[in-house]
Amino acid sequence: MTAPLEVGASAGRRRVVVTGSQGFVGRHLRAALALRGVEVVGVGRPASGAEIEVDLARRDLDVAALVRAIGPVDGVIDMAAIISRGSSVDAAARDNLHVIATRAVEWMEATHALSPGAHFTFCSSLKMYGPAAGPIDPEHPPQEPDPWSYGCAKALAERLLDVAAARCGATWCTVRPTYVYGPGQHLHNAIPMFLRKAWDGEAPVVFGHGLEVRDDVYVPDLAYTLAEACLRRATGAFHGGSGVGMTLLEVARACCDAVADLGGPRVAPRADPSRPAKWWLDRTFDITRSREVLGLRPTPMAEALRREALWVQGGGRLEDAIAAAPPIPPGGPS
Amino acid sequence: MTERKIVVTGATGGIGRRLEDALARRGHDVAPIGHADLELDHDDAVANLAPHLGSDVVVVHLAARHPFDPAMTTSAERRALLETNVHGTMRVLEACRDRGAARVVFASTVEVVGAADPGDADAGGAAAREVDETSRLRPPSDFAVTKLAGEDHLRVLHEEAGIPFVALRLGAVYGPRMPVRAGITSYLADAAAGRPVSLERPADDPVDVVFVDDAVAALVLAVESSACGVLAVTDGGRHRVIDLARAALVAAGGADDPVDGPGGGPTRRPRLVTRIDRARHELGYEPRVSLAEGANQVVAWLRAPPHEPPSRPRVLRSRS
Repeated sequence: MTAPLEVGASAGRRRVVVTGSQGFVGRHLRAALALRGVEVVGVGRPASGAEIEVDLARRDLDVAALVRAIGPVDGVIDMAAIISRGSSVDAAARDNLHVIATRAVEWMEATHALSPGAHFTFCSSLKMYGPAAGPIDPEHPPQEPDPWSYGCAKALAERLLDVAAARCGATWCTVRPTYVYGPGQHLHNAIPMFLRKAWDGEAPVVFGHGLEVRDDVYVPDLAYTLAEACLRRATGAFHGGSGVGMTLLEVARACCDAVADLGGPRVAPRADPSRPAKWWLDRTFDITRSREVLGLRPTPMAEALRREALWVQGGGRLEDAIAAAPPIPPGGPS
Repeated sequence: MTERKIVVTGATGGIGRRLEDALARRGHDVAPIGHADLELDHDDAVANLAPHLGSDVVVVHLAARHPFDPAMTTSAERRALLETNVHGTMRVLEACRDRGAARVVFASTVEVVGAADPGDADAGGAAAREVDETSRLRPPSDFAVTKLAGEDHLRVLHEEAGIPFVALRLGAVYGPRMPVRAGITSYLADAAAGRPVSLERPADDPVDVVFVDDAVAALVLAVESSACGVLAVTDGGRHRVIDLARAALVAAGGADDPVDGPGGGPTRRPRLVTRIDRARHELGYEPRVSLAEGANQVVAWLRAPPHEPPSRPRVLRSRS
């Protein structure tokens, strides 16, 4: 009995294309895949340092030719995106659509044509969901995306993929991340800002009343979810979340606790209702499928925030991100 | 009823021409914009449309790429559909954002609902399941996907600029002068010409249609109302594909039955019925033309000798 043919394998290694490989999540996903012995073919912007550097917004880009040049693969994890905040229906938003939606379905079709056994994982977003109350089941999501360009682009991508996969027979799944945090993120995001304030002995300030509920996912857990979705050839929709809903004030408090637990100053957050809240999404995300199908066991936030607090205090450098937040192996945290 | 300034894109299309006439008869000041006037596939469209807009102008956006058979779209056609129906719609909305608009009325399609929840499908003919504007959406074709993206971007514009919108999810529009596509318009054309009527989809597939005069009536109501949101517009019937084909043959006086074509066979779709209560309540919409009556009108027009006056030149009239 011969072993099943491993498409794209060279010396037994699986080969996965990751678009958006050079970003915050991309860095951690590379680490997760490397831990699993997977060869990563990263695709990123020009001068980003990816194995393949290309401007995915170019209207004349021949994705099929690019896929042929890359050669047979076992999977594609598509995370490439332009996130131009504030664009709505204009040219910047149209570029968004092109990179996020048009390109996604082109990658899937071209990859399937060259490597029929390959799996396609689409990295979507919680912005797929517009206003909705209560826990969201990824298989029965709210129907209207967040009314800004980014969410509409992700929703368009998923629908195009659904139609194309039915037509060509590709195996695919979508992973919808919630708010991602961890070493390697922009230092001006909320959680690193709270941590920085706490280290400085100042009260972190939450705009608005701080009672909006959100789900924050630790980046190695998201990388785990994406890697396992790809390598287990999962189908359907998953939430790349922690499954835990916390108010923004509770998150800020957890950041203060992390710093205090590490011997830093003990401060408490406060809300500033005079400033408008930045978030108006208010919901939780069901991660049952991620647990059952992918074996996800989310890292407790207290531990995750301690790791990030150390990273922030150590200078918050990108090159320290993986050491500060190592990848989680296939069997779950050791 | 206040007289309004109205811009109609897609004004040279089957629906557009009738809509322009209907709006003009009601005393509105209509600027028709046809394909030659506005290249939706290019960013120039934003600047070209802008001079015709303003906070008192209602925009009816009908212009779209509509494939002959949405079920058979190729990847190359998908690129064109995205460019015109999504990016092109966004260009229209960008012009509205920049110059203002009183409201936007958009032609969407019932097809955005699609297969909905195949999990609880019963294609064997059990009790019909009703769908409405709150139903789960699963557009089954690239065309329907692009129309749904159009709806999403109307919401984006509303969020950003406060411009209200109505998106009408129209059933397949048929009537005199409507272009022939797969489905009811093909059945009518074939039946009227004495050709065999062959079904490109399973005979038992549920399908929604609306006669062009009713679609136009709904669009006029949408222009004049203050409703905001998504509304399904059909002839209120509960048709299957086979019903449309038989209606075409009856109207044509044919004795034959429709035959299964390459797309035929047993249906894989649940028996869905689209409700139009929201359009009735919010617009006062009432379908007037039944399938039988509509089929008669189309066959009569197809068989009549051509006697139409030459079409009026379509120009962008500048607003002084």
